[in-house]
Amino acid sequence: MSWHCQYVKTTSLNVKLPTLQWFMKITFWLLWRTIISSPHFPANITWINLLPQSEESYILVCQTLTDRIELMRKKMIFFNGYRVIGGKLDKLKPDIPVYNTLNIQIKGYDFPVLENYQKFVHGIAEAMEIEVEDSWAVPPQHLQIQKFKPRSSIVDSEYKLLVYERNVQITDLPSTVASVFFEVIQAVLPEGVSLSIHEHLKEHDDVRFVPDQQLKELKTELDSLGGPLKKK
Amino acid sequence: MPAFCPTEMRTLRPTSPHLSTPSAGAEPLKKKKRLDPAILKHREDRKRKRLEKQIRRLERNAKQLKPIDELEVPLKLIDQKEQRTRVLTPLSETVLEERVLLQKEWCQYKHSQRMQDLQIIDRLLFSQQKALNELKKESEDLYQAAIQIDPKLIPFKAKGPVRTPLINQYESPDGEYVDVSRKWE
Repeated sequence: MSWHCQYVKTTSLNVKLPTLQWFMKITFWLLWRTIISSPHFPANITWINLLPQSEESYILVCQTLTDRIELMRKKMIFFNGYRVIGGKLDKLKPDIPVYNTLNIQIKGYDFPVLENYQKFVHGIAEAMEIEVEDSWAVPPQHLQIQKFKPRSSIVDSEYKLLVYERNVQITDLPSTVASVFFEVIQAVLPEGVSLSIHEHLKEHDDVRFVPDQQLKELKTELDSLGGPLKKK
Repeated sequence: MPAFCPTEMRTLRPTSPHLSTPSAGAEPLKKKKRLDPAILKHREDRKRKRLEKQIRRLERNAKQLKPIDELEVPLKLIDQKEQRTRVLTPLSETVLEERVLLQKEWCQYKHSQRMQDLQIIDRLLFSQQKALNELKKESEDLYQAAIQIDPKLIPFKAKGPVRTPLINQYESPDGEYVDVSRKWE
């Protein structure tokens, strides 16, 4: 009997019908083409050796391929940055409540240690699949530390130390992952480094930039004239 | 004909209005222009619009980041670069190979360390997930309560360990911390 068709005995006619195997083969090849043409198919893997050898295995392969396509579609949606609202994709919404944008602020007197720690925190966050939005440095705080002689305010000695600072910004941190993450970070804290995790505010952004004198003058002038015009 | 002195004539002639008294020299008062407040307002609006436009233009331009002291190379060193670079004898192949092999060993060691760290984290997360699943089976309310965000957690502060343990009844010396960092105003 040929692969593609089998004769079905009916009362009146002998009809050629495409067999189930033929259908499975066609679906397999269609799925195969969609996977190969999708942008997330890894180019360096050869799947040719994984072609199924028998008819039953075609069915299994088709199931696994549909699962993979579903996964890739979900991944593509995440990669593009939007989530479809409503329908089946609503199930992608996280059930675990999520924190707002958090800033992990690290301060220390020794800046190579600080930089390494920041690198480590960033790496751990990426490993735990926490979205790291941004990470930046802030100019150090210069401290002049004066040591007085006992029971007087005569300066005994003076030290000039710099307190360096680094920040790592994190979004979409689920509450369950947060407790583990904070524990891990705290466990690795090097000596002399202090850690502070707080919500991100606009002031934290403004501290990084040099204030514009011209802008300030213009703004005060505008205020003196009576505030900005209301938009119609 | 009677002779007349010009000065006499001057005094007798009627004086021009603006010389005698201030009010006598005033023009008849004009009616106040009704369009004035509208024009003034128009002028003010125009000024405001111009200012706002300038403000918007300045705000649109990229703001300058403050320079970070520890990441800037001092100019003196950049100028002295040629003086400071050393000309060393090239290393032999055996030494180079040794170094490369050492680097590889170090890489492998650090990699295994990282893998261990990630395994620990995976174990933590896995056991947490398992516990949450069991809790969910037990009672939905407790599960929901366990999942909620802890509001007291968020201003989270921690300090690194110290090299030496605390000294009992230590009197710290008097002193002052003065902030002398550069002010950007």
